[in-house]
Amino acid sequence: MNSPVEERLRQALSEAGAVIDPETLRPLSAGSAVRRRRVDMRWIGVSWARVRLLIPRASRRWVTVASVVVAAGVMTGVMVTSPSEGTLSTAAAVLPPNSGMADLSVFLCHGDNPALPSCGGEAITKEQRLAVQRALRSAPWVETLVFEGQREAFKNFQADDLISESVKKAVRVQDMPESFRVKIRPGADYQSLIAEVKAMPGVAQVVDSSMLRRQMTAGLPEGWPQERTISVFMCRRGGASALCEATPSERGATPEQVKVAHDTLRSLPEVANTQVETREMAWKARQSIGATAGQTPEDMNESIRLLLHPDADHARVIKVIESLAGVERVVEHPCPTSTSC
Amino acid sequence: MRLCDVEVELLTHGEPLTRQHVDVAAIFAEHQLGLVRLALLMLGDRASAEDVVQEAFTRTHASRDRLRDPDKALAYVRSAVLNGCRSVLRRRATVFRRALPYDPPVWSAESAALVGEERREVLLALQRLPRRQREALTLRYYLDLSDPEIAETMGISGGTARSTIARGLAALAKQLGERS
Repeated sequence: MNSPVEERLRQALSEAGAVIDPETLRPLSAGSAVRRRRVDMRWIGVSWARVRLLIPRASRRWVTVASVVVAAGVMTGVMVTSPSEGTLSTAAAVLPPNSGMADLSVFLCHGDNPALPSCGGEAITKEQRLAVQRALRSAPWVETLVFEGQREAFKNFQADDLISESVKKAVRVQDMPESFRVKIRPGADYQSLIAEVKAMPGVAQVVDSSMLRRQMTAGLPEGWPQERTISVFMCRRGGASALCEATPSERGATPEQVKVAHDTLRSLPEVANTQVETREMAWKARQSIGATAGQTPEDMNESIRLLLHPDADHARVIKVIESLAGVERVVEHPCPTSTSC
Repeated sequence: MRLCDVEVELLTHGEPLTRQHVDVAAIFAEHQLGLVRLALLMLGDRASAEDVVQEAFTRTHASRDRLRDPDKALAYVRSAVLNGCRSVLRRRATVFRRALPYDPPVWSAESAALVGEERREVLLALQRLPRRQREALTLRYYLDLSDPEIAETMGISGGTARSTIARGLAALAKQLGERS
């Protein structure tokens, strides 16, 4: 006799498993082709954060743009997806150096883009592109507007030494998205226009990198150079990370765990200073940049901010962090541009 | 290669190597779907699940000379997939949290349409269990493996497998507000 829980579990697992349709399964491959295309999750260095991404694999012609990651002194990497699975990653496109850092990137649909529902598999037409351009040009909050074609995007992508070679190899010119790179006037409220542009036909995605940048740095202690700062986010009650399994009380880190983590990290020779950011502090920092939409203070994680000595070995510190109980995520905050912070 | 191996090869020239090797490719061909689904249940997103299985296949294939016992091969392959899932989860932990959400897992709100609300609740509760319990419960209630099979796959003893499942079920029932 099965208990009700067993029954529910059995059914939930079977239903979730059935999400995968055998017909669409990517065939396994053996031999050298595998090694070349093998998927690998790895770090890609980006300008002000290190983000780990999946590397494109399988049939490269499916590599398409889906959503964005910021990379390279100037701006944006682009996560690429395969249409069947909805996740792969990384291509990147960068603003021409003289145009400064883009605040907003409007990625346009191109033919090979069935992953994006907003594109419906269609490339943007000339008229649609003109319409988007007109809308952006007429917006009062736009300071500069630059169009980046596929060739240029590819060139910038290949020239970006923060992007790993295997990603570069996997991406072709026709995989790159066209985009409008927009610089926003300081202080402008452009949220409603983002929504408007997003809804225009032929627009694949609008990325508000200025907001991403602000989110990344919100709450960092005054006067700490970003490139020497590491944030250690502790497990949060009700959080969904599978890594927080060892913590009691619905997987929120206990005060003891926070204390142990803090004491351990503080005692490392690489660490110059530490600061604990409570959930309330995190919430206030988020509020101050207007990024709390749909969230409550309950969604914030307590974190320990670390200031490392110049030239300290980040990898060693991260290794120690990974061994600590109750840690959910680690964030590094490298410079926003390659030359200065 | 030792002399007697040469001899065996010469003798079995008509039906090369298959007799000495476990046919890894065949095992994967037969079980790929199940393995990908297992990985999906562990990881929550399909692309990573397929990658883990591909990776496990590549590795097992490369070391197939060491895999001589066909009875153990499937358990070995399942272990490889579980290990792959573990390292994906470990690596995910070091992604930054605030700015970029990563792939929506199948049980996230975004894909609620795929898996019903009531199922999602169970899957979320499962995700919240400690790793070993989560693995053991999935092997038992998804793949219907026996205690010894689960023990072999996870590299633990039969008794530990049994008690892990019992504790996992109890914890799950508690989370779901049910009696186990």
